[in-house]
Amino acid sequence: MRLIKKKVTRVRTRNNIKHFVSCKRSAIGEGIINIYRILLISIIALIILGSSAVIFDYYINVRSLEAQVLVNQLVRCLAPDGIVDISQIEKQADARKIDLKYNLLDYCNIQNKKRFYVNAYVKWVIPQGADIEFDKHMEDVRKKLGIRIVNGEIYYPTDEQLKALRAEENLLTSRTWQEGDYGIGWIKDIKNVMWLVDEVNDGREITIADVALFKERWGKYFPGVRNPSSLNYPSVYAVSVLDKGKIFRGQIYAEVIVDHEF
Amino acid sequence: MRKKAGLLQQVVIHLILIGLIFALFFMAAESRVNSRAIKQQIIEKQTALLIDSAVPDTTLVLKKINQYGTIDNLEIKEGRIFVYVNKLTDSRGYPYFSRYIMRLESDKDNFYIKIMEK
Repeated sequence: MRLIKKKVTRVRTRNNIKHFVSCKRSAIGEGIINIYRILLISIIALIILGSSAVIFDYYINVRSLEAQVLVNQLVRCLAPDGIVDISQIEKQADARKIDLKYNLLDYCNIQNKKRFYVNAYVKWVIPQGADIEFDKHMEDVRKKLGIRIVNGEIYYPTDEQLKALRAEENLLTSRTWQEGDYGIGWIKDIKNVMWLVDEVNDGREITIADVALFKERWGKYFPGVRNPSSLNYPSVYAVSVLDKGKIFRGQIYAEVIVDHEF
Repeated sequence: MRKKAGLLQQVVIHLILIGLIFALFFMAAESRVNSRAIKQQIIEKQTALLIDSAVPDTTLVLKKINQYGTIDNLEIKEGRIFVYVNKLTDSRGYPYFSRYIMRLESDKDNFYIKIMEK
């Protein structure tokens, strides 16, 4: 009887050990499978979250309004009371060591200017016979009035010839001041983007409907633009220009491109 | 019996984990469904445009409780304006380009943005 009992005990102990080992293995296996299950559930949740983020996302584009405001600020900076004092502006720019041809926004103390391209073309007409002294800008005028002769050489008019010419004609004078990269507005020139033709309509001519479709899809990246040829509110301003103590009638043609902020 | 108990235990654990993950997902989606981000965008961009077009000695008054909800906080720093509306804690802000100095004040009902000459 004792012998039988001992045998049963030994067999039970062996079975218990085997059972314990197999339970431990299956627990580890379950744990590994659970990791995959949790990963799968997380991926599904992320997919649903991502699609809800895309569906409910809405971007409000105010770049056109920003462009209009910037044009107004620019003109207010250059012509505070409707008068563009050319000498004063150039004197202040020299004193602050600002090159107006490339750093117009610095002159106007506009901050956060990475997104902007601005161009201000100020023109005025010096009427015929007006007595005005020569300066460095007259050199540009002299070059523009250069006369090509038969053997290919270019002769420029002398001061006397220029004065005589001005006595007979009105003289158009201008300044162009700008800052920024004109290329930031590339997306607005979509007619020139050849790949759009392939993507949208297999080679046929781009229509207004294609433009509208493109704007709907990529509108988030469209720049805000104001220029003299804008249909609504063209940015052309009539001003008076004070040049060397004399006032002339002139205009400011302003162009502004506001890029996206992403 | 042991097997059934073990199976039940596993199912309960799985349900709890799935519930936790979906709770996180719903919390994240809730802010989008309530359009808090859109309201935040509207207020930020409106205020930025107002600041840009304002002349010196102008004060902009923003009511804390308005049609877009409750503005919890408003900050102006590093050339950007940050608005936190309806307990939204995250904001990328919107840049402004005004050349004047801004000063922000607030009282119980309103935020005041004072624009001054440099």
